[in-house]
Amino acid sequence: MQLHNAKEKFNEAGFSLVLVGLGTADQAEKFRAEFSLSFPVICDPGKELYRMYDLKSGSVASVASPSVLLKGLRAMSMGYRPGIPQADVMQLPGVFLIDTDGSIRYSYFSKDASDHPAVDELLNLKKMFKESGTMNSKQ
Amino acid sequence: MAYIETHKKAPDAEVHLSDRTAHTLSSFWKERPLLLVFLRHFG
Repeated sequence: MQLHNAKEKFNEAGFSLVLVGLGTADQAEKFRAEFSLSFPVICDPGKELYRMYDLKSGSVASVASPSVLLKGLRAMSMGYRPGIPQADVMQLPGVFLIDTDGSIRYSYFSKDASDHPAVDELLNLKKMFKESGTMNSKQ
Repeated sequence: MAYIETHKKAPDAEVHLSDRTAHTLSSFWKERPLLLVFLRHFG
């Protein structure tokens, strides 16, 4: 898991990191144990939070197109194993950066199941906002 | 298709963690900016 590998970098960048998944508490705890995750994992099997953040369900093509499957095979060749979607196989992922004043500073709505922002892009957000003076940090 | 906009207030809600504790989502962005990552699946 790329995010977990970059955990210290996110910490150094001054971010808190929280994951949200569709599974149950038992599934999430198994997931945390398997990857030795130390950050919080929110369980949202009813998709309430996904809906609040406007994360959509995709089409069949967005979760099983040749390009998506190819990216999955590439990830497997790098040692990542495919997970089994819980609750809604069509659900698309996303990422948000929320400032300490509660405002959304960055959003990423994945176009398909294999579409994710690069970790380096996320790590650069702090620098970008620092330069523009729009990120409030209480560090 | 409408999407939540940047610079708007982030939706807040009571959430449940994998350890079955309840929290308000906003408690996670009180001290430091929060990177909130929605997954497709656990694993």
